[in-house]
Amino acid sequence: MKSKLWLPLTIAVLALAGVSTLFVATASPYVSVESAKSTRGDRLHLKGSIVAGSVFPNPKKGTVSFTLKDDLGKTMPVQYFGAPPANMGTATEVVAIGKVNGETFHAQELLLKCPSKYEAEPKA
Amino acid sequence: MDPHANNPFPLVAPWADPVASLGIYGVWFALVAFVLSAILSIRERTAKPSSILSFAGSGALSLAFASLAALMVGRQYQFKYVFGHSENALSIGYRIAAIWGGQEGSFLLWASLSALCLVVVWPFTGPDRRLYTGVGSVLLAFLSAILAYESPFLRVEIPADLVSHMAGRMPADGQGMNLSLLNYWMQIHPPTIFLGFGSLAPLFAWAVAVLIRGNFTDWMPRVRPWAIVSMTVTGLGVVMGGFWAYETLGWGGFWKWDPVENASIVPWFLTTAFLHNLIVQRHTNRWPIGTAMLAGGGFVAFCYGTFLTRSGFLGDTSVHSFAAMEASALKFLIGLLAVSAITLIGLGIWRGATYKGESPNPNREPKQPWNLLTAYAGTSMLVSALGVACAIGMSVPLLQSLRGQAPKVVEETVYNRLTVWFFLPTVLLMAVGPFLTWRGLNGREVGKKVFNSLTISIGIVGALLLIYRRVPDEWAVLGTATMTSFAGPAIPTLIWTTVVVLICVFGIVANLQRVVEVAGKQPQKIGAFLTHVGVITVMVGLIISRSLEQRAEAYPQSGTPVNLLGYETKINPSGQPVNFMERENQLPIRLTGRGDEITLRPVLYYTESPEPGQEPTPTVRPAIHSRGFYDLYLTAHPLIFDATEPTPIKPGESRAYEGITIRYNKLEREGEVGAKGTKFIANLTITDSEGHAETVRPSLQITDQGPAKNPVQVGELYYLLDRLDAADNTAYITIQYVNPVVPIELYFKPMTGLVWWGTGIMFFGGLLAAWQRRMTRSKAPAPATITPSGISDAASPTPEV
Repeated sequence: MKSKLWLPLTIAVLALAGVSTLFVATASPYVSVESAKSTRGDRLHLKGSIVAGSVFPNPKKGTVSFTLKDDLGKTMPVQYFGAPPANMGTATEVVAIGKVNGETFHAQELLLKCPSKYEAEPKA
Repeated sequence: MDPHANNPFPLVAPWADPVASLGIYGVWFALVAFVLSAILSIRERTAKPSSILSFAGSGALSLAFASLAALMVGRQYQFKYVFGHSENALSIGYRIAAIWGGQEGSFLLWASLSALCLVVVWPFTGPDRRLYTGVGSVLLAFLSAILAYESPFLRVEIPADLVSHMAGRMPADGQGMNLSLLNYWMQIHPPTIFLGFGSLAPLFAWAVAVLIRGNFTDWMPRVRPWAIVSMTVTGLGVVMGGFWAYETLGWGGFWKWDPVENASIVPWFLTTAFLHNLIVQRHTNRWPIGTAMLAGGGFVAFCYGTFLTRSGFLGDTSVHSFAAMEASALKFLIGLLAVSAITLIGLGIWRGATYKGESPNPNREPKQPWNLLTAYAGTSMLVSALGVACAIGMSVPLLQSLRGQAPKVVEETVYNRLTVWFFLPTVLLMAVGPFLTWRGLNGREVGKKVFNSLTISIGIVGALLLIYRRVPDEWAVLGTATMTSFAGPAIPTLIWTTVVVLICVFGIVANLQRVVEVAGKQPQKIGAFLTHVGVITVMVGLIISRSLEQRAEAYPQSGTPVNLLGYETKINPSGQPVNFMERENQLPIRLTGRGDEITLRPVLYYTESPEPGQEPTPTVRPAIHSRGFYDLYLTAHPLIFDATEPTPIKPGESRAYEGITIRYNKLEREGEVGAKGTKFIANLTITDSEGHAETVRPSLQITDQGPAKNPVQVGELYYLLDRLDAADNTAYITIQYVNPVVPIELYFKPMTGLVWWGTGIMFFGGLLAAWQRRMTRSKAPAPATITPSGISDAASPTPEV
């Protein structure tokens, strides 16, 4: 390889490593109910499903509370500060972003996994 | 008597099976044709049959696409894909859109449009034609193989007990399209963005052909118009996706840096970098190998994005849930990614080691520090780096997985912080670059050239700030508000936004100045400058609308006014009945204030759930009121009926709710325990705040469908017996609103119109540039030719483009 290519290639590799490290270091972790309790941070991503019949929007407080069940079957009450998202009833999964406060997960954001653009939701 | 007279399943159309067979055999024929074409392209003397087979394969893929379209439009629900994505209620436009509404159809669209683009570009490939055909055939063979396994022509599986009823018949209706896809953008955005993705295939095939041949000069004038078209169409598709998100998903924004979005924008970054590299190569003979690699990089990046988003690796870390691909089809997708990436990188390394290169054009060698070579090099590197950074960001879940660690996700704020490091210098280069020359200018000369643009830009931003001072307090971002800057720490939102907007306005004004200056002398440059103006205008719209937006929410009941961002807001002011079960129902909401009265109609409706016992499913879409300088963006969220959660009360106990006392006197029963029709009644005394007491008897009744709740109404509230604890007769009482609460969310979003205007300017500029380059190319000297002794370059010097 031509010697003059080494410098830009080295810079490129270092830049790639730097960006990768930055992204991995600053990325927000996905947690289970158990690991949420022991993980620091106020942007934890708690993933699971919504326990049927547990959703209660409170218009007086401007919150929505529900019980989230993670993939391991553990449950945790979640309080989301905001109006109930439209597809809450049909969401296949929910990701609550926030932090643990006592026994409750306080969520600033809710990401509801909708059926994909490329996969229609079966009706029956 | 006809035994099928009362059969609820309609007869299949007689043409459906032959048409589906055309589709199936079309895909397999295409696969065989592309494999043969690729093999035949190896030798020069079989180049012609290779091309013929490639065209035949492309035709077969188009035929397969047409077959699926016919089945979809003809509502042939005996086919699984049609059944799963269409229904009788869909209009013709949505039935056509359903073709790409699922995984298989979107792959067919990608393959068909890639084949179309490869055919369209084929006549312009000159001496690279044979290799171009071969490489293109390899790509299409992989896509055809994916379609052979991920087929949209499979039949619906019929339950054994229905087989006799279904002979020659089909389901009466399909499952329909996902409700969130029922938007006009579904008919426009996917074909546009896939046309953009399809346009990457010829760039890749051509780049590989050029790298194999080792002649990097022939293709430059020929490929440039196509590169401009590819960049423009892909960019248009990306922005359309942003419009769709803004108008439909209620994100309140255009861009979220979701992996699906990143998968579409990374190829655009690389194609844009390629285009700028091409200009440098054209004028200076520099960077031929890097330019070719960037040309192919867009296709590889899209394959990688497709792999990431459809392989399941991002299943946990994306708001979209991706359907898992069929296992063999996924292997072919991985094969396509591996072959294309290894080929491109391998050829690049090999050429880098062996290519002697041409001497730099002495007339274009920079003599001063501020020169076009530096500007283009900087732009190309920054834009490429932006693409690579985004690709790394969306790969974090994969990296974590490969390290055996829990998934992580890179959030919007991190992307914003990182990308601004690339974005601002790029805009500065876009502002200064148009004034530079290849020989270069010194700092003083550059200062003179940009002085007018910079002065005008400062004036415009100053005027905008003065106008912003007049914005009502409810709409204005306060001086105390902060946001995360590029360096990490929070800085005042207004200051940071002003700095960023000033740089962008400078970019716009500078390019407009150049448009005026070159209009009479070098009109072929207008398209490029206008494209710059369009891209920066889109960015200004995105930045201002996101950073200076204001949001307020309230939870009123219908008819009860609330104040939102200075507007008295009233839901359904006329009091007319609203049918929330009607498809596309719009809820009228009146905003009064600032000497104005506007009625917005956000979409809020419910559809019955097919599962018995499940609540209806709400669908929500915002209403957007555009007023030139700002949008009012109003969303009505699903109705809230429950005023309280089910609250346990034992007999003799009381509970208070907003001045009302609910006393549970006793449990009553009508009927025998366990028998159908038996009622369990909670005897309640409701005492309001003024001391008026009333005894009511909400009940639970055992029916065939399970317990039925019979609420009672007192004033503006319902009282429900939700369930009972038989051990101690505890009643769980829920209070519901008679007039439900409608959560509403109002955004003030300044300057969103710039996103629309910018997109229009970018598209027009791009097409103008491509057309102008085409016109110039037609005047260019004859391209290189293939002679028995090898390949000869064009006799004359490289023509100006």
